[in-house]
Amino acid sequence: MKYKKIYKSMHNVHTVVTMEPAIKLNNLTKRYTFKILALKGISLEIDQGECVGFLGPNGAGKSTTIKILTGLIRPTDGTAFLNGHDIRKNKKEALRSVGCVVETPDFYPYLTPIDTLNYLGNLRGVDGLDGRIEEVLDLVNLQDWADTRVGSFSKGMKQRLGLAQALLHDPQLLILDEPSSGLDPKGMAEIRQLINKLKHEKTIFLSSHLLSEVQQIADKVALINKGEILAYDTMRGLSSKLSSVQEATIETLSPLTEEQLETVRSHPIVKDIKLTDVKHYLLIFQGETEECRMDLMRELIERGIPLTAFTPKGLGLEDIYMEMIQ
Amino acid sequence: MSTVSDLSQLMTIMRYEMLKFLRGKKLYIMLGLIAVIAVAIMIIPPALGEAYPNADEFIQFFAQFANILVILIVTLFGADSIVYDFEKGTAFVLYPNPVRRRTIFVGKFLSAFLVSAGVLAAYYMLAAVLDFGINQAVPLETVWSLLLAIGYMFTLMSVTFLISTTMKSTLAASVIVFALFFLVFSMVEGVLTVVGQEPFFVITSMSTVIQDIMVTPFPETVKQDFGAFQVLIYHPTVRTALLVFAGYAIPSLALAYNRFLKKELQ
Repeated sequence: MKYKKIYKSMHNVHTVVTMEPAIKLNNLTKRYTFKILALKGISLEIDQGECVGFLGPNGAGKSTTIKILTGLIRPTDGTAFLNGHDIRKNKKEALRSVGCVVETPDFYPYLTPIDTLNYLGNLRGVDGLDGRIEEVLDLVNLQDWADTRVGSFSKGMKQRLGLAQALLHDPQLLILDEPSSGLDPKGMAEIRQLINKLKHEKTIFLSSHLLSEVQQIADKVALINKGEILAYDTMRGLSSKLSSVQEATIETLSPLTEEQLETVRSHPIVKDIKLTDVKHYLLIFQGETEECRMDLMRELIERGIPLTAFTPKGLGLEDIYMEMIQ
Repeated sequence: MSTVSDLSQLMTIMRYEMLKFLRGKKLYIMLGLIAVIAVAIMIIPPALGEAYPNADEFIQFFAQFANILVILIVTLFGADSIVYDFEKGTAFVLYPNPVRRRTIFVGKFLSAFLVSAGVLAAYYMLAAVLDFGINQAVPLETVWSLLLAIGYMFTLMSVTFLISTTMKSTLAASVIVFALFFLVFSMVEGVLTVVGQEPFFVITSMSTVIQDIMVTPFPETVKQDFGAFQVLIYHPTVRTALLVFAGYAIPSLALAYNRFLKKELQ
């Protein structure tokens, strides 16, 4: 097992703290049936303190990965480590400092949130449980329903309680599967705000189908499709990997003639130009850098194209996602 | 956060499983049913102008309903024990905790068994109190009958847990458990006795020992003529019954445990 070392200097005394990755997947494979291969040997390493979004279309393997990580299902092959502990060989230790919200959790309807958190807190041996229960119920805005049986809760309230139980033992690592699912827009914003606050003190692995959510919260993104990790990088890193083909909207002083359009197309890095509106065009070109774009703009003006505006289209997560999974 | 032992986690699981029964309707349905049986037994003899039976017969009368009660108890308290978490999604909350699966399994089984045993004990207690009230006596065999009823219930609960770990819906598990013990086994037993064969491998046919233990002398298996048929009236011995209980309970529990460990939440 690879160890990462952090050297701390304190009063001229150097101590070495060994830190395992928060999550480490090695060649993780899951076959449900002969025909369904949900995970095709994925490997992923998430360091302590990172906030990673896990994105992919339905059936990509997100839930399967999370269920393996939380010990709900077993991998067919490969290994999964949480804070250095193999989830199969030492589940109890692996999940000790992990808080999870898997799918839309349901709770025993005959228990109140306080009962539920007492139950789970006692199982985990949470110190100062009563005070901690109050804190987490307050965090997720469920304090007014603390003594109401969960059977009467809406999906959104259950989702909040799911987050409360995940935070109850103040875990190092949070594994969140669609954390804002079932919440109204206000609730979604509150949960995102909470996660954004938590990401400064915890490692977060967050699966979501909401691209905007991942974009707002995560520092890094792992894209998964058909059981394979397509990319794992920071947003900037992903964008640059994919941005060899760029798009820009251009505006001209007057509509371009056929001859001028041909002139644009004949530029070595231009792939195509399409009319979108009167005097507005979509320019598709190859070139990643700002310098490249500046050269293109200058050369088009030199070739007699009456450019009045050149607006490169930013590559958002949605563009990256769509391009990657296609 | 302190380290929690498996035993401590087992106690926590049992406590909250029992809370499920205490806060649910099933326990009160069973207690209500017990009250109905007791009231019926108390009302019917005077209504028919007959005297109450003696102490032995009175308690035997109660004991003959024990096998039906056991079937209802395991259906209500055991059939959904495992399958509920997987069907309703409560497993998504309970199972990703640092708790061994064996602890969850044992906790669920023990709490279902203890609550069921408590209901049976309440039934016998009520019978004993009424018997004492009417006849000023309670036969000692009542205790043996209760212990055999609990043994029978343990066996049926083991089979029920196997069904609960196998099925995907609580409704299907409950229906299968009830149908299996109430109809299927009874039909097999009926057919076998009609053709003169001892249904020694049919678990429900062992339930007669619950009543027979209170009869002196202990009834023996006999063949009786019913028209063209010679029907077997089967009375297994206590030893046979205990062996059959073990023969069902041990493999059923082992299989249920194994299936539970391997059960995946999909």
